[in-house]
Amino acid sequence: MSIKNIFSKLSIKKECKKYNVPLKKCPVFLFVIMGVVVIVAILASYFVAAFYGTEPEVQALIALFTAMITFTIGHFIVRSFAELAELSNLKSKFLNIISHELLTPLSSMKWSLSILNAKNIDISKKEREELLGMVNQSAENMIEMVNSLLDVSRLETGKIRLHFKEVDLVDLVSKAIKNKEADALAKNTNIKFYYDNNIPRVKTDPRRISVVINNLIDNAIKFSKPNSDILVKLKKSLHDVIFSVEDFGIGIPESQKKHIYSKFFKADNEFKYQTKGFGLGLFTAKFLLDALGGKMDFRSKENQGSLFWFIIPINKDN
Amino acid sequence: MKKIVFIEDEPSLQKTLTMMLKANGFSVFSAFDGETGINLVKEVNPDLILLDLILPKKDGFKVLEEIKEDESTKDIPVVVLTNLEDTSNVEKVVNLGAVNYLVKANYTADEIAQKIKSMLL
Repeated sequence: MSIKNIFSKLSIKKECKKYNVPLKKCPVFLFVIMGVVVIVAILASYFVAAFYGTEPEVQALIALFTAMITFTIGHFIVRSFAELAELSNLKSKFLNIISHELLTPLSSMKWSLSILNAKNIDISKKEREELLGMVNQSAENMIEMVNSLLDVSRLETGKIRLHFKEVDLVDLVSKAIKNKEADALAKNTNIKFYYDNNIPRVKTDPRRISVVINNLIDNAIKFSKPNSDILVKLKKSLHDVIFSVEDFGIGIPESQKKHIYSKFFKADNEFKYQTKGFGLGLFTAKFLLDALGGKMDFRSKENQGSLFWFIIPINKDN
Repeated sequence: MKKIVFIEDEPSLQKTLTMMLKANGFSVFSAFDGETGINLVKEVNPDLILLDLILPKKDGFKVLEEIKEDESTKDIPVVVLTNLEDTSNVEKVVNLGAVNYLVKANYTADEIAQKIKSMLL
């Protein structure tokens, strides 16, 4: 950490701005205040003990005991405010992202319909069909967005029910790739699928594992550079099946890797490439995979690409 | 014919507003990201720029800043057209030199075209 960074972190006002709360509710400010309270409490208890003529060892013990109590209370107070501030921040972030993402298709619908209704514009049959198609697509996009938000809510409140059955992953992945063909084509990316010959059926929830697979392939397409390949692989190990998606796109900056599974997270370099989406794909994928008894991980280098993989046990005891 | 450069990454919004602007007698040049937008502005030298804020490659704030710093483009009026309703963004773009800030969802395509008409004609 550079000296500039250290001084920047010492600036309470600057640190508090990040939390978007008033100074009196800012965890950093409260931490400093609690620090002062602890010091004052220690000194006060020491001087009171000294005033009443207690032994030096007893004075020291009283001061230490006071320090422990006030520090513990202070810690819990500051932590509570930190959690509240983070919740408030997340709520603001959530509202900003949601409103922007939903207003885009709504604007598209409004503008398309205003042209269709306009009396002073001559529209050809083809243009009319295109505009109606845009209205339809915007509606579909909004439904998909709302469903993804509801899914996250269900995941977090545990209201999601899993239905395990034997699933042919080769078939599932093939269908997922077929569904994404148009998106991949639009980006001039080529999805290549490789799988071992003896991939066994696995016991999992087909709908939920499809969401995981779709989200990973979606991301690979979104963040691939044009005219590049996306490699999708299925491999068998002794007890598991390993699914992986590799792209040669923008990758994830080192400093942001720790946030990659957070809700509404979008890496800084992502905006240079594309602006759509809530940032819920990986959060949802990881959450679902954990519930299915699988494990996910990734490797990524900025400007070189990313490799995401998950392992799913062949025999899942439910 | 007055020229407009429209910098917007959402294809359906590009298409619909361009259609409306053309129907109102404007010549429209489209860019889908910030970098292409800046190059297009320098190439076309439009009468007005319509600028989205959330853009790939270079966001609208940086585009606005660069346009206003460049001698050849600093006098071209810029209208920010976005779905970000945060008042801090309004202040920011006005300080950077934008002449207007319109929230897309609050207007029909026709209303935006009429606003631009009243600014240019």
